[in-house]
Amino acid sequence: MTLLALERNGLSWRLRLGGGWSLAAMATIEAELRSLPAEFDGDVVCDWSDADAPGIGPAWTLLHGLAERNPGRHAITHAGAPYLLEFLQTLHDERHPDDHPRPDPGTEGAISALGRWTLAQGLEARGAIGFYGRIVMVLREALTRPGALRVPSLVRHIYETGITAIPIVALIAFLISVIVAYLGAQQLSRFGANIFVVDLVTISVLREMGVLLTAIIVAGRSGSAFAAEIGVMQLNEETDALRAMGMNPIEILVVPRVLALIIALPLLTVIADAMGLAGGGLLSLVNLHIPLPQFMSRLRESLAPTTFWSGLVKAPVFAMLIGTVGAYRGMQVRESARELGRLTTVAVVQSIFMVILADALFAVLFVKIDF
Amino acid sequence: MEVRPDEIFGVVGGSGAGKSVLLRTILGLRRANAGTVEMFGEDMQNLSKSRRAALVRNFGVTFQNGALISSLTVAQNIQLPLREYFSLSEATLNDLAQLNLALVGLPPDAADKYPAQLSGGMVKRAALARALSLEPKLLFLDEPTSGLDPISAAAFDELLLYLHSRLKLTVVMVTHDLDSLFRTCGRVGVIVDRRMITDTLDGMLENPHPWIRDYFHGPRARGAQLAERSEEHRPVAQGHHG
Repeated sequence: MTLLALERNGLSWRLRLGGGWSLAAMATIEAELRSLPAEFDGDVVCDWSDADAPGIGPAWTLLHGLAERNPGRHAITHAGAPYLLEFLQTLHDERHPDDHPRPDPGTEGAISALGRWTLAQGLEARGAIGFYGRIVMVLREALTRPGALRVPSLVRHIYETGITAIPIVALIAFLISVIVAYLGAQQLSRFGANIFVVDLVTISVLREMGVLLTAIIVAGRSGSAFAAEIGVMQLNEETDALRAMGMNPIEILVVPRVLALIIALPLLTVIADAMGLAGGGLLSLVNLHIPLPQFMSRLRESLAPTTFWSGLVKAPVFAMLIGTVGAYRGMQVRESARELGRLTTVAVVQSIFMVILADALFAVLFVKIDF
Repeated sequence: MEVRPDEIFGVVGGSGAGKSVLLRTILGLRRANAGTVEMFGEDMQNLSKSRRAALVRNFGVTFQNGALISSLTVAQNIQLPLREYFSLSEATLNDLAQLNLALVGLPPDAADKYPAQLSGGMVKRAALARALSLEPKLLFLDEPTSGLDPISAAAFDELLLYLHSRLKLTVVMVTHDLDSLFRTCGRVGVIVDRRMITDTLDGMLENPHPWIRDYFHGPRARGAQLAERSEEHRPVAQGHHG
């Protein structure tokens, strides 16, 4: 049975409606509505006597479709209809959706978009600098008021970011160093220079890989955790509650996390260095048949006094970058779950990027000062 | 507890008495420890997946805090179940979103706002609009007026009565709001001493149980009753059967 049948009735129109007018039939209703004439030139009488229990959605769509085809504002009446229709007709007449055109979002010019972007970047930079400033203020305050350091919280974060990260950091440092030694040995053995695998492993692990790998793992583990934890607290208005109680969220939430990371990351780096050297030593023993005492003496020869420190000194800097980026992005979360996800991603990507950028700057600096 | 077609049924109980657990059990969000839940004559606990999916379309739910999806606009929230179950054109979806906004008395321009941009009262209305989008016959409301100012709460009560009479909805409402209870509900279920006592409001007022007496005769309850009596009309809920 067709849902819509239009008949001419003298000067007016008669619209016979039949069948099931439920949401499930909407696709058919849409199609049949399109077959109606573009404009009604007379009054319309809708005859609902053959339709069973029309749903409000389909009926509303019909009313809207009829109103669109009725620029002359001819009377539209309903016969044999449940009283629901009159209610809907009233509701529809009260607020015709077309009276409220939606703003077109596509009209913004490229120049104003550029301006908006520039402004946003400027505000972003100011916000980030202000954030660093507030951290420094708390640290300065801690000189005169040691309570500002929140030792229990600091200890908890050292445990969460440092101690619990030991297994994964150790494992990855060990495996990467084995891989480097293995690939290095393949090349060096062609020159009969097997023993230089020790130099390769020692220098690459201590100067670069130990600290860089640790920083990247920690950025993935703790940078994201900082952003997510603080972000959820923002969504729950917990940070506002702290402020309202006269407490500084930077002091309570941010500084302990950043300081904990600054303490934990160098310690993790030492473990990563040790595991890296162990990996190199094991591979040398098994694959290159270099006995351990020989490995150790070669290791001492290859080490400059600064090799170990040039790696370790970067750790606190990386830690500060990871911690502040994570906490800053967390503090930026507003309003929605989507923001939380986006800013957590941004925190991880940005902190890894910052770590690698800083590492490059350190490399140039160390070459210049011959460290 | 039994809810009859075409009534507004209120559920009250002390904090922690299990109102929300009851609601979640009825909705099938958790399994009942004992007993059965029947909806439209079907046992909710032992339904096949497909039967359950079909049944779910017959009722709408609003949660205490709205539970609007925060990354979608109000219109998209309303259209979410429509898109899931029917294939409709964008124009029709917008039409239907406007219909549901009109039903709950939200302005048309609320459609493009995100939930975070709405006031508490608007969030509750938008949640109701989403619950209505599949044209359910049965509506579950969890604390629909909590966190609203008295004017917004009263407006919500009127809206509920209006929709109840126009759309012939059956409503189950968990509430702590005595004004709302006296204004809208015909019958009430009280969870007390780990079981449910069901009665009409007038019957509840006579109930000798100490907790129920405290609840319906406390200082706040008296104010609500006075307000209701002085308005001189009994809930519309009882006037529109049939």
